Amino acid sequence: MSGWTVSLRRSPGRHAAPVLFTVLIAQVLIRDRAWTYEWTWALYQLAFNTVLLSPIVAGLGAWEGARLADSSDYIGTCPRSWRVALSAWLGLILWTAVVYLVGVVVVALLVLARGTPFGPRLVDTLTILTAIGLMAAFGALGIGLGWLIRRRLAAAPLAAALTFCTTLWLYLAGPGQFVTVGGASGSLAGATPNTTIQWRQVAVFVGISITLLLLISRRTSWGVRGPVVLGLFSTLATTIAVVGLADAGQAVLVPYNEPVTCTGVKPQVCAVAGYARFGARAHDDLAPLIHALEAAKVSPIPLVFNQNASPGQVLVGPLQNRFLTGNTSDAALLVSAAYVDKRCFLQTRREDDVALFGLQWWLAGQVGGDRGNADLLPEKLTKGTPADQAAFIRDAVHTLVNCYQAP
Amino acid sequence: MILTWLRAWRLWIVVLALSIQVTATTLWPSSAVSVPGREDVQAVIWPLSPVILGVALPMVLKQGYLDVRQVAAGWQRDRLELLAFISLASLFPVAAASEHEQLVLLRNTGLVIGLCLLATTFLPSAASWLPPTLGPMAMWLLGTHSLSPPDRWALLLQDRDEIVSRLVAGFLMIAGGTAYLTRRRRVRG
Repeated sequence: MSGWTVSLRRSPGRHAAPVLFTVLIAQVLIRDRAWTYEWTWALYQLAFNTVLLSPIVAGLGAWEGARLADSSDYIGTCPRSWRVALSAWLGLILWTAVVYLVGVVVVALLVLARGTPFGPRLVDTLTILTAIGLMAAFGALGIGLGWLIRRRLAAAPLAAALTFCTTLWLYLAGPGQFVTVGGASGSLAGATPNTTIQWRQVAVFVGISITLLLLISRRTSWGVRGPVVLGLFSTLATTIAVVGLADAGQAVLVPYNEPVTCTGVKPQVCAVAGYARFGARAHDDLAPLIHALEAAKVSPIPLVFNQNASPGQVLVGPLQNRFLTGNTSDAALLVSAAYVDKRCFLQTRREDDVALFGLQWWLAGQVGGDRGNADLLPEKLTKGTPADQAAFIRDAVHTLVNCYQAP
Repeated sequence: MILTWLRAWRLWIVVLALSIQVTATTLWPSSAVSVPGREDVQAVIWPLSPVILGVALPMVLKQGYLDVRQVAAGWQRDRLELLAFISLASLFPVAAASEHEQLVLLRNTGLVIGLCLLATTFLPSAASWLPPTLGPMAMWLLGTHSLSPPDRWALLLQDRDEIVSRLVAGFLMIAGGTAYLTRRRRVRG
């Protein structure tokens, strides 16, 4: 049996694999699974689990590092002692990667079971790579910390707690791109992970891992000339990678014009692959509202609803994943959102708010939906004739299209 | 004499952890920590401060399972003294907290100590650090929401009047204390 196989068999990663897998699967199964309609969202959301998994891997690495430190005298007498630190790290990371990849398979099965057509993109592979890379870097950090502290039960929880707090701190105060490899609370239709940041993350994670392992190896090699030049080169390369990642900005998600499938006319409903099968139902829910706007002689009217569209594009309305998958009460909200630009400063100018609530109140009434509170609305709308109401809606649309925006 | 005892059982680690806990809860800026999508989470950071003790405890409790201590005549009395010290010392951060925080901190300290006792007693030492470290992380990260109260399973984050988390804390303390005081592991060699 080779040394590598021994490292793999006696790695703490092997014993912790069931714990890691339980944590991963619990998060996948217990939490909301709206991501099962989108491949990119599903795999990006899975990568959020690194926030919890990476500190555990760091703790396990610290245990391994302290164990190596216990044996440093013996390790130092071996030729090519650098292989000891490397195999310890590889053993841990291989088990972690296996757990994560099984998680990927579970997520893929859930997405397919939802009826979403098979269609992961190359960028999704990169998301998996960055997630494993982050855990690998945390594992190396843990080994380094364990090597320094030398007490296993001190190093392991300390490494886990420190890396967890550091991760959350970076999420909060930035630069978040050093730890954000996944996690999106909303649909990623019309957005995609920033591949520039992802490639630079991979470079940083690999650089940190190699540099730390070289530093530890140098300490194990008593009387043997350690890999000084290689260590210096690795440190320099990692520094460049860190600067490069810092320079890439914090926009981990960027807009993406995803291919859509369109259904129907007046309005035409254009949805990305995972939601295309809901297009006809969405059309049927939106059509009465568009007809009502036409009857009220409103102009302009959104005749297309596209999942890639942003609010306020007027002629092209936005689509939400919740609406497409069955939350039909959002129809009035989506139609009114077509008129409201993201830059509108609502709750600043009273006429903007009255126009928006009035439009939503009227649209909800056209399809017999819940109209909500009408206290803010004028009697011309709530008690007026159909002609009065139509005049109010035309004015409201005009007001919303010209809403108050930040100077 | 006392200093020798503190050093022999590595209780300076407990003293250090509790000092860090007191300092952290005193100096922690109330708006310093939040996560995208979890804007109001900072309100539930301070109940987790006993975890600082939880990170350190497995290292100290493990001393009771050293072969040399297990074969000593008064091993149960030694462990009882250890537990008494930890329990009394852990009241220090509770006493230092504001009146509103005290009940929650007392409950959470009990929860964490009980969890550590059970983990040290029943898990191999390589895994004994995981429950008191991983549990609170999961509660904070997954059990909180931006607009609604924490999930019921996030026991450490429950309101001070919540009864289930109190019962669990009491149960863990009693079960963990009993297990730690009565169970001996097989002596090696």
